[in-house]
Amino acid sequence: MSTGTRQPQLSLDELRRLKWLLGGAMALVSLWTVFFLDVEALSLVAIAGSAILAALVWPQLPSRVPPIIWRLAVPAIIAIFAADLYTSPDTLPALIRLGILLVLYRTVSYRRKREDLQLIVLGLFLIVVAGVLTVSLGFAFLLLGFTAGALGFLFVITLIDMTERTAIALTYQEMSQCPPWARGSSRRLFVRLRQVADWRLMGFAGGLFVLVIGFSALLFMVIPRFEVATGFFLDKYITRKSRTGFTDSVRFGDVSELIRDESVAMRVDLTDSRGLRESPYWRLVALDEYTPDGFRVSAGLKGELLHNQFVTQRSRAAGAGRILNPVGGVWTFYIEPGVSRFLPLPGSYGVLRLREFMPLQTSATARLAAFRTESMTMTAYQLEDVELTPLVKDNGFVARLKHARENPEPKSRADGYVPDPLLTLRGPQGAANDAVLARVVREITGGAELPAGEFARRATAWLQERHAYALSVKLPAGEGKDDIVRWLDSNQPGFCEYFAAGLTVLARAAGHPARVVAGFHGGVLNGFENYFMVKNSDAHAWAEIFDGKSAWQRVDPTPGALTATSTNAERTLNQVQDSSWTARFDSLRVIWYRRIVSFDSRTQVQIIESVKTFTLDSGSSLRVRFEEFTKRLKEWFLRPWDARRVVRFAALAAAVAAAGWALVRLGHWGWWRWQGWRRPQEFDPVRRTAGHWLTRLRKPAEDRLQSAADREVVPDLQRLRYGRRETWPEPRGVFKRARKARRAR
Amino acid sequence: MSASVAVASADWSGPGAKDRKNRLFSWHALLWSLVFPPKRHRISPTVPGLFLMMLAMGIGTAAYNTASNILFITLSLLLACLLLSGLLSWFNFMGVCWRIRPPGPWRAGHETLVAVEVQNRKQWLPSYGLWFELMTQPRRPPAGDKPAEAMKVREILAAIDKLVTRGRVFMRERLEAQGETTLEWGVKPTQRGAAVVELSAVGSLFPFGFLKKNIGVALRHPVLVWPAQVAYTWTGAVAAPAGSSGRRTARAGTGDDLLALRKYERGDSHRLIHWKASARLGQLMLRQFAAESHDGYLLRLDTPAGVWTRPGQFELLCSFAGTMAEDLYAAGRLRGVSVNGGPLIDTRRLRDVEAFLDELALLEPVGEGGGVPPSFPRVGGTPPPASKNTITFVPEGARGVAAYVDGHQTATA
Repeated sequence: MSTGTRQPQLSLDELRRLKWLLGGAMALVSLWTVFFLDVEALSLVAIAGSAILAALVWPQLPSRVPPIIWRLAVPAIIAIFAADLYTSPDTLPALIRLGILLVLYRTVSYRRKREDLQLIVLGLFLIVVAGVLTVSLGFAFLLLGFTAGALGFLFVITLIDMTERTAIALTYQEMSQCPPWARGSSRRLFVRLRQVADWRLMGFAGGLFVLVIGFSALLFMVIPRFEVATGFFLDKYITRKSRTGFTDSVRFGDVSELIRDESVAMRVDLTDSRGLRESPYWRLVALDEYTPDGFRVSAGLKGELLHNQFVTQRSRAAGAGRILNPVGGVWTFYIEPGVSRFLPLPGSYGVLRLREFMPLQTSATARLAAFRTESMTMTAYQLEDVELTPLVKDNGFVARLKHARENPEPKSRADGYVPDPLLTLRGPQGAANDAVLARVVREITGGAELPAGEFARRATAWLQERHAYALSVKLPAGEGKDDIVRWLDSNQPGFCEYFAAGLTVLARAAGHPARVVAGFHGGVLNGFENYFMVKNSDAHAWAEIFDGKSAWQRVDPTPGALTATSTNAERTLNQVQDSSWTARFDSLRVIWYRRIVSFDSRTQVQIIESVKTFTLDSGSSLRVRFEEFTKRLKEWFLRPWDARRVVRFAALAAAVAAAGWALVRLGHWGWWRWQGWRRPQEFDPVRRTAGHWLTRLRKPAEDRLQSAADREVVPDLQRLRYGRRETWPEPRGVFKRARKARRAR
Repeated sequence: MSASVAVASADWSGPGAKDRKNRLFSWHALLWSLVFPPKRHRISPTVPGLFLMMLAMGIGTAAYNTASNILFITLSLLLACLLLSGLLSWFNFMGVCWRIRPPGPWRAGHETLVAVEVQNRKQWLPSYGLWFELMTQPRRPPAGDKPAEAMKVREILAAIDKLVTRGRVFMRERLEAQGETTLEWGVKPTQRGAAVVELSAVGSLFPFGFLKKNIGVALRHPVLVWPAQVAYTWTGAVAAPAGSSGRRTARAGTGDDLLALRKYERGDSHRLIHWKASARLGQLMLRQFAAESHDGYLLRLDTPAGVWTRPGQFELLCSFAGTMAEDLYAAGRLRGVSVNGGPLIDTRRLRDVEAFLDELALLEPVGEGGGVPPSFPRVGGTPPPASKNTITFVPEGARGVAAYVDGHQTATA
């Protein structure tokens, strides 16, 4: 029997039902994480989720499954896993599918403590794997949700576990018997939960959960870190296809698909965005080889990238030249998974720094940087000394071109590690193509031999005059002609890929080395955290023409690009910021990337140093202020005292004393009010005052006999203190007499 | 039971037993107690707790090997949960105190309840999921078949363990702040004698079952176990004819003669209230009638060690004497009892019978000359009459016990 402020409590069966609900909720949270992973398990998740939901709503359903099914379930799951492992190219997706099946099995079957703990471990496995592989902000929320659910789940298990033997697993026969707790309706449970909910306990539990989060954040910051030069092991067990089209080859139409995607592709954090005067071109990949389907990275360029591959954390740009006008300070890039293995570069840079040691490929001639494989997780890196220049320096191109013309066949193995310069002059082949291209070039140049810059300007004007901008392209028929040539020969509208490719093939036909470049253009500043948000819809393609001397010149022939560029530049110049709710939510992701994902030993040392500096500065500042104060006080005291000053000082002292006394009284009053509200049965002001007077009258009288006044008033005070209310004398009179007796001593 | 927690008294123990006002709080003491728990406070990881620690170690190893902050976050969260578990466990025990109440009397072979009273003296927070480990054992183990010197330590421990009855009671319901509850443990003592009931430990797996916190209590309470009740055959109608003594009793009973007045006690019949006396004295007084006049018996129990040589037979004697004394008292025919030549104690009230049972609980065979009258019969002989209607006991056969009244066998067990 329990007494006190009696609150309704859940019965044992209701606790078991609550445990069932919490277990199901945890399982659903863990299944949700699979949506972050690019594994082929969505249909399995849908089936498992539906089954779990059904079992949550109707907990008696599992009892209708015959024992033989339960007996065969685990062997069947193992067989499915073995078959999956045999057929699947990757191990991890098969493991994740196994995890889903086991979570399903454990959630929809009746459980005891051991199975409950298995469910927690399985859910945690799915969440951690998804979190590690995606580094998504959603992982943080799901992990928190799962933790809250798991703690509540364990709490209920502990309460149930006290009174029943739950260490022994259920038999298959028992798994097919409907337990008593599963028979009631879920609605009744929720009504009971509402009845037993106590705001104090809920608040306390919420406070504790916040404490857990705070404490784990503190632990996260203080756990010592060591830099270990290794990549993440799970990457080896899963492969991922690019979602954007920025791979080694870009076919016509790839970029236009991306333009419809409004999700954020990357975020760029600038330490100083004031110097930014134009809308950046985020250069990802240079496509130097023409194919009838589109452009692609040539084997020579791939060879150069492979040849220059080093496991490193820091790379200096070779041949970057002197940085003339660096902007932006330190640029930190957060690239979403699946964008590309190539790193977006806004211009020339001095230093590229990675979060950890990774195999990095670079090409000085094409100014490219890439990882060996596409990262499964968010990729972060930093650039320093960035110069937003439309030029890509390539001082050796002329010599290489001359060498290639003189030696058309590669003679040494080293030739396989440099791109073939002749490829930048090769366009569509065949007489029909040649005829069209020659005609168009004549139209552009008027038969004259123009320098590259002038040709690019006229070709751009010609293209924009003939073709409008549209995301859908209908190519006219044309026997023996490549797609791009048919498009050039028509008046059909096109999009950036067609304009860039068209300009490139025209330039090549005119004898100017040219290549297509794919990447992003523009972006918008986030109004909350001051960083660039670049969406997939900012995907863009443009061309680069060699100026005949030492650099590749960026040319963007897409109609509206200039307008867009100027608009973007204007927006950038005026620091126009996106302050929408989408940007607000997106800023959370950047905080997650900045503070959590990119946290390393360097940041840890910075935090320790800043704490140390703050402590030292605060101490020094306080000391200085205290010394100043004492000095001023001393000066104030040493000044001559006259009557007026004394009166003012006395008045001030009296006011301070009165204010202090009033504060003490107020605090005293508040304290007793609080006590009276908290324990009304124990609080009575008359009894309390009588007790005070008894104490006062008792103490001095210990050494001598009580006076007559004392003897008269003490019994009355005792009656007020301890007696029944009905027998009380008039309290005010008694207290008055007590005061007199006190004075009489 | 009052609705709020009573003032702390001496027999309460536990973290909340000390008066809060007299406790000096210091952060130093608090932190030190967290690092180095007080004596008999034991915290040990459970199987899920060990698993959690191993999981944390695995994740930590993976985090260091891969420098993945996601794994570091998971590790931090697991460690924080472990710390929260310890903190909540500390909160749970804070302000909780307990005491045991073994309500008497205990009787061998009868189930009795030991009450564990628990109070939560915290101001705000309830307490959950406590358990109380109780045990009872005789104060002195009975002599076994083999002498202790001839036994191995393991045998001695096994023999002692057989006598110990252990149990665990759970506080399943939440104990609200400033609330109290009573938990009951049913125990069936096997033999008479002085015993000890002990609250050995208080434990909890609260809140998540990772850590088992045990507080060694060693709260002991002595109890007396009366002899078991036995079935016996009464043939005394012939042996003790009614009216042979002619002595009137002056005991409270259900007769017609007014014996005395006493204060009203809860549970007394309202019909017996003496209203005039109550009005005169200002408090409720009750009429007490004398028992019906009839003949009674004196129960005399002598236990010379030379006669009662078999322990089993001696136990039967104690049970037999106790049962007969209760039956006779219930029938209003027990005048007095005497043990081993001691003074005759009149059994006017139930308390007198209970005192006799207390004595029986501790009774042991006495040495030769230890108060045994020389006229006491030998085994197998016929006892001479010591006085009118005096019941004496002698061994009968190897296991039985016979009761004689004035030389006539009256009952056997």
